[in-house]
Parts: sequence; C-alpha cells; structure tokens
Amino acid sequence: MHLGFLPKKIENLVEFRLVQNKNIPFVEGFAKRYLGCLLYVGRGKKGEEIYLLATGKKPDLVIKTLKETLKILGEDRSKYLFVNSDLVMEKRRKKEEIPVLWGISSFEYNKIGEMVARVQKGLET
Amino acid sequence: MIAAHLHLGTIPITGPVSKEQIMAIPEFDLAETGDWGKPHFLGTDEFGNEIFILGLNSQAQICCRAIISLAYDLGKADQILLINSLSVIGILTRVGGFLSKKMRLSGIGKPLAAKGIINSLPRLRRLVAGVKNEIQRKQMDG
Repeated sequence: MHLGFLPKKIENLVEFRLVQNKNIPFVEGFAKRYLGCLLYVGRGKKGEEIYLLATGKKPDLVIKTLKETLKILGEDRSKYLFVNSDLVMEKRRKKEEIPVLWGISSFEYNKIGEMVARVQKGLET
Repeated sequence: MIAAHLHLGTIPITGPVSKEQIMAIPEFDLAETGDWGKPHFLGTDEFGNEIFILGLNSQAQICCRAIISLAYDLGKADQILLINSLSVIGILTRVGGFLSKKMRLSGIGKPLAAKGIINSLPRLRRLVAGVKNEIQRKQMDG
C-alpha cells in the first residue's frame, strides 16, 4: 500500500478480487528462516526505503534490539521509522468480518490502509 | 557476561576463580526483563573493539538475524561479531538464574548460578580463546 501497488481502501468484493489478482510477494506470510531478516521492497514517493520485517512472537523486543543496534552503529535513529502493522489488526475477529483476502477481513484491510495513510502523512511533515 | 569479562581480562583467562569472585562482578545476576534487547557496554579490549553484552530471552535467533541484516544493509556487517555464550552455559547456571529472577529467590539462585559458571569456566575460556583467534585472523586479513 505504501508503495502504491495496492489501494488503501476497498469497498466491495469486486475490488477485493482485483487486488487478489495482483502478484504481491510475501502475502502468504514468511517462512521461519525469514524471521528477523530485513527485506527491501522498494522506495516510497519521498525517496524513503521500505523494508518488510517479520518479527515472530515478540515484535517489541526485535524492534528495540534494532533501535539499539542503530545507536551502536552510529546511525541517526530519527531517520528510521518502525511501524508495527499488527497493532491495527483485530485480536478477536467479529462474526461478520469474514477473512476474504490473505487471511484478513475487508475491515482489517481498510484499517491497514488508514495506518499507511497516517504514516505517509507523518513523512510529509 | 562472564565471557565478556574473560575477554576483557577482568576475570583471569587461566587459573582458579572462586564463586565469590564471580558473585562480585557488578553485572552478575543483575539483568531484568526490561534489559532484554539493550546492549550493555562493558569495556574496550586490547584490539580496540567495544565489548557489549546483550540479553535476548528466547528470541536470540531472530534478534541476531535482525542485527546482522541491519548491519549488512548499512554496509557495516564487518564491524559486528555476535557470540552466543549461552551455548556453553550449563544447567546449574540456568536453574540458578531461574530461581533468582523468576522465583525471586536470589539467596539460593545467585550462588547456584555462580557455581554453575565455575563448572562452565573451561568451556567459556575455550569460547573466548576462539573469539580472540578469530579477531586476530580478521585483523591480519585486513
């Protein structure tokens, strides 16, 4: 969504099917061996580099470790933004929110879209 | 942490070490859950390398992968050497640590962990010697 390959909002099943037909990598999840690996996926409109990071059961610990590593390596931490997309996912799915795409419901999909919009807005300021 | 002290020479690399010496190390049995993921600087070795200790709970493999992955992306992978010292630590130290930290029985757990460290000392020393050889080899390679 951040890179513009997917729309941030989907209204109906027809739109869902259109999105599903796109060949998006890693939508089925990550193999265990990829946990902790930063995967470069492209560059955003502001020139920002976008990476994927699957963190396993303790995302906070992995992100904290990365932030501390940046400090030790002499990097400017303010240039890095870590976004935990799991935070917008529903812990308990409501009955009417049937997963329709890659294991997520349309509600969750649009929630992620809202989060991406907030991140992009934050990059502008 | 003991391996780091052996590396820095604050615990002798040869000869006997007492339980009391181990327990007198300021960082011994001090780490809490909140310290996980935060490297703690211990000192600089004879090669000029900064030595850190880092607790990662059960996420060591994933976090180490993340550190290496980040360092590679920044072109700084050659500046980091990660050593897993838990692989040479015995069951006694683990039980001692569990009693001290999880059960809050430091009176029993701390000496037990220290005794375990004494038992593991030959393995820890071999590990440190191997790391020093690796550093020297890397420096000679340029």
